Amino acid sequence: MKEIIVAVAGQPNSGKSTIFNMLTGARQHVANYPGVTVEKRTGRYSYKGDAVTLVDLPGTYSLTSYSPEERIARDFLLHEKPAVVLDIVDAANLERNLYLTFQLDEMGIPLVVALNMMDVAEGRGLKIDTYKLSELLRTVVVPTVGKKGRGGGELKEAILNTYQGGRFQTGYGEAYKGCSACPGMSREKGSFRVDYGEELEPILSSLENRLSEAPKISARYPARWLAVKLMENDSEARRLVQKAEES
Amino acid sequence: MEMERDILNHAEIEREKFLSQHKTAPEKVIAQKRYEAAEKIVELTVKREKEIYRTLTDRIDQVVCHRFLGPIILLGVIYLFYELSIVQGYKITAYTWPILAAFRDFIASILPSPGFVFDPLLRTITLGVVDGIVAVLNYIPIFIILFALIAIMEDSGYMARVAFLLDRVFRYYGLHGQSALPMILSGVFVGGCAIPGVMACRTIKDERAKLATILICPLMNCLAKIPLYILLVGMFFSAYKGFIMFFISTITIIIALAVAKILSLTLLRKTETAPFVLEMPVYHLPTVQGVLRRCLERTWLFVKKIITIVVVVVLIVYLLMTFPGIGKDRRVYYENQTNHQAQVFFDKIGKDNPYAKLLGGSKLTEFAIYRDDYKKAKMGAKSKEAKRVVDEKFRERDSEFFKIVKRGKYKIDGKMVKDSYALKVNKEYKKLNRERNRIKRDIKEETIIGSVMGRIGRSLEPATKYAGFNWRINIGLISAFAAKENSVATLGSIYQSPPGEEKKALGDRMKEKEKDWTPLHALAIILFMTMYPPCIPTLLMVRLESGSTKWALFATFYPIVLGSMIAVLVFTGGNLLGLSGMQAMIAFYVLALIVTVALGLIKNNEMSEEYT
Repeated sequence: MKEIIVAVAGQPNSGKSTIFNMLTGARQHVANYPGVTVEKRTGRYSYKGDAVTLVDLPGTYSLTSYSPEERIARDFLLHEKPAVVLDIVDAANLERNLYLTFQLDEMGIPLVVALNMMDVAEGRGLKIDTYKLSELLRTVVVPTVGKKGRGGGELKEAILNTYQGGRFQTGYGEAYKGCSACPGMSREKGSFRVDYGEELEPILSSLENRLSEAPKISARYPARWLAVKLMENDSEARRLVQKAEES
Repeated sequence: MEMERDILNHAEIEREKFLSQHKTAPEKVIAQKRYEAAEKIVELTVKREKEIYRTLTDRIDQVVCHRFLGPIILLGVIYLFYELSIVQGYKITAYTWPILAAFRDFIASILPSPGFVFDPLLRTITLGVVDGIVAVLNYIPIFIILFALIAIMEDSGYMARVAFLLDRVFRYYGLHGQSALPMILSGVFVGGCAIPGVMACRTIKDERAKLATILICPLMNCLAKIPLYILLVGMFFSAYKGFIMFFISTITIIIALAVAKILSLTLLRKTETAPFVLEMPVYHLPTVQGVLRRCLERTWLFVKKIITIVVVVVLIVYLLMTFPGIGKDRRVYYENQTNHQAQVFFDKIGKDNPYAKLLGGSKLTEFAIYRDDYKKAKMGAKSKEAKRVVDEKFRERDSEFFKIVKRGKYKIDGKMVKDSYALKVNKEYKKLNRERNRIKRDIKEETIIGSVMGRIGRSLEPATKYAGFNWRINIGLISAFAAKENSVATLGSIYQSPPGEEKKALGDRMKEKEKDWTPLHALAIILFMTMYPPCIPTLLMVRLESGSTKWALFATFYPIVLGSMIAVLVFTGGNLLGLSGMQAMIAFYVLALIVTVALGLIKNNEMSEEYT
């Protein structure tokens, strides 16, 4: 029996806690993240013989280091290295929610997207092509309605599959049948990248190359992510590079 | 390893180059590109089947966030919140209290039994700590309701609207829209509790506003501050009760806003402020399960943490108010007094009384405990049947003592008997008991006065006289530190009733002893009380929520300094200008209002501006 650590990320009001409750039920534990008063909620479930531990990250709009919540979420992903990140996305506010999804993706941890509150989106007359979204993001996208308990089984399956690095086999249920056939369901086919434009991309790739040449850094942090952060002038990223030097 | 430094330099150079070439920061381009990518993905994957211009949420918001209707609805919600959690919660504590009292009694029963006037040290200390814990646990029903309501407000999406509505005022003072709820819970309208208030600060995302709110919550008027207000208002301002209560509740919020502003301009200047992103989530109907889970979790977290710390802190304060205790000769003096009173008792009932022998030696103490227990049990028994059960229990415990406490009226073989000896003993013991209680009170008073806290109270008198406080008031105020309810209780034991005049109210007794007091004295005390440092459970909460002992200590000391300054200003200033109590109050109110409004106009130091 393996223990799979899954970080649950998402913007505020994306229905993160309902999904969390749906997956873990009553097996939850609440504490504080060390040194701060941000609640750290963990929960567990077992699926097909594997024990999965979910860690709820604070709800944040972004992953910079401006607020304690953002820093906690980021530090957890960087240092605790969860096996999978489950990103809860509000289907009714897809565009804004993707902003965080891109940043999670850049951190290089296998990603599963729960497209939550599908009912609200439908109620607003939005029809979301989840195949295509999955294809574009090169990530498994599972439609869910956390409040009504819909999509839990599919999420568990998707998490396990992503963890194993295999293809996502089972269907999403009747409405989304056949999705397993679409490309991009597995991360083997390379991951999604935000195109930062012709002015920045050359600089980013030269930085990326130099970062991957430094063994102490490339062993710890994803080079692309660090390159972007350095160009963003993120003080925390600079510190990480400096620390790698001292060690 | 030069490599890493090279990389940093390289990145720095590239940034500089980018800045000078494109006249814009790379982070801005990065953000923009992300937005563009998101937009593109949405374009490719989302189709609008039908245009829905106004959703239900939009329609609700049109009313709830309306310029005029919004604040009115908010007031209604706040009132409901306060009514349900604080008022109804306190009513529930009436039902839960017996459970806690039973727990206390159980602890009391396994401790060494009390003496006639002197209780064993282990007993008094343990009970002191148990009382402290029980006092905190007593708030649990309030917490459960409170956390459930907060969870409902959060889950439904209304909390974001509250923040939106109040942010317009609060941001001038370095606070956040979400600071409103903690302040209300702490008692803006006279009668809240800072513990749930400070705890509710969790919901504030902005670190600076959160700390500022945590620090001003204790300035609100918690329920325990009220008895002292009522006492003093009744003594000196009885004609203007409503006006004074309005003054007290509004002056605290005026001062609190000023304090918040000063803190965010000075001590909290360097704390982070989050860019103010306010999202209006779609209204949801909260789920019962979700609400219950959150409220029970938070309550449990609270109980677990507070209990462990409360034990230590209560113990320390209790020791400070007890030690070094009364001296040996004083102890002998009180023992002699007790013996003398006991002698009077025995003389009165006479040697012929068959009960005189029964009560000899240590039996008198035993009887005293028996009688105390009996009275307490009788008080707890409401129905006739329950009273009968109590009687039966005590008859079994000691049939002879039972005859005395029943005033000589009891049954033997089913026949009522009138025992005039027992009646006589009962009557005389009542007198003895009154003396016993007086001696106990004297000992308690002398202990407090001689204790570390008491000495501080007396040594402070030369300074506090500028605020109009004499040492008696000092001790009363210091004793409130453990819990504010103590202030009136301590004053009650300091201004004791002379024998035979027990019925006189505390206010009258105080007036008798402090003939030179004016309304200015009362005003200074009231204002000091409004700024009183948080009680111990609140301080622990402050420590918990701010995450540092430093802030808890700060939350203790700044109100003392501020309160003293205000009390001195009002008392000494008022005296110098020859103002009456009411005049001084109005003058101070206007002054505070001007200062606060002026402070609101000072520009905030917005760290967040860099990032926008």
